[in-house]
Amino acid sequence: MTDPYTILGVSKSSSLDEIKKSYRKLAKKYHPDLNPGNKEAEKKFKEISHAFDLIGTNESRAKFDRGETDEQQQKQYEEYMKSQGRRGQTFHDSQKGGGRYSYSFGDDIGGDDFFENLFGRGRESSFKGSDVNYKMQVEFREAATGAEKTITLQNGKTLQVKIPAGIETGKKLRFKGMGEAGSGKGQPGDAYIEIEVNPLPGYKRSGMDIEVEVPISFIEAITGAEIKVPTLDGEVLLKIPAGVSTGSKLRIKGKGVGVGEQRGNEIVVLKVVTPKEVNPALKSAIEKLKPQFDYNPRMQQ
Amino acid sequence: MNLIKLEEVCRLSGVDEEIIIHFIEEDWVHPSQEDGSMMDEEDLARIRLICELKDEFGVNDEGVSIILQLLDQLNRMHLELAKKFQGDDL
Repeated sequence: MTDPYTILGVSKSSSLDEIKKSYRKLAKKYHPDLNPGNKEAEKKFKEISHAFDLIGTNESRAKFDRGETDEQQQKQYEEYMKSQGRRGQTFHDSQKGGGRYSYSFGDDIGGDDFFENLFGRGRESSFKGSDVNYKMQVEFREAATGAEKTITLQNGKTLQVKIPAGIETGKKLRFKGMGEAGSGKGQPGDAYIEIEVNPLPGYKRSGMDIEVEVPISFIEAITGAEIKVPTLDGEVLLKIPAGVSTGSKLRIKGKGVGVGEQRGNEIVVLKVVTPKEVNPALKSAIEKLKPQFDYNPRMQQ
Repeated sequence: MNLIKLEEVCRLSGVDEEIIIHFIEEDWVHPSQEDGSMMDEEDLARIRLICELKDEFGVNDEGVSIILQLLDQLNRMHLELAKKFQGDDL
């Protein structure tokens, strides 16, 4: 492992202030957001951060100087290099493939507006352009697990709209600067896209969960069964335990609202359905069983 | 893309709610959901970046505004260039 003192360009006798100063200087130079897409800078930044973690406080520095950088710490370091680092996803990474923030400048990048956007804030006789409202229909499934759609604005521009998983009817997405042009040096207004989620028959949102009503026969309710139930990802087999009633709820993990590990569940709400026309043979069979098995559910707790 | 509750954003970023609200008021963070009660990964990464700029690099509020604007434009340029030269790794 390279010596953190060397990485930070300081000596063993440097003061903590000098170490901090040097770290800040290097971190500024190699910060991944200030060097977007520069893999070398990103690597360097991680090295610098790690070196600073090792000797950036009196405590950690004393530990390091005593030689207490055991195997575990080395392992942690390797993991750390593999991962995004303790800072999580960098802002630049979050903008890869077209982030909202990167598109907050409209389409005129490189034109005259380019500099006006930067310096034109709050000048006299400048008015911000009007906001523009749009409506967008989103399928139930798209609202539950997220989607990407395009919309054509009044001015003919198209906008990539990332529908976040879990969005609900009435929520508005804001696109800065995509509204009407401002006057003078005023900034353009914003575009608001109001979401309307199309209902999907049989499916109901309940927070991060999705409730689906599934009918079963009273025979299945008594004996238990394995039945196919619909989910947003297609049908799955579900075991119904014996003795369920209308309103009994069963959970299917990870078929609800959201993405990946944070996805909610599907709640199957059972509905026991008795045949509309009772077959006489069935009726007499039940009559025969009645003396032995009849019960009064109204007496139950 | 997942929506993250404001409390969760506070926990993940280690930043108090008031400070995040200050970021929104300064127009540095504009959550896709207007009321700011829910955010996404872009917002979270941006909050972390602002904290680094302020706490580690000592950038003041005016500086943050300018840096963010420049970064947004720089990232946008990257995207535009990437579109023009599709396939080349920028």
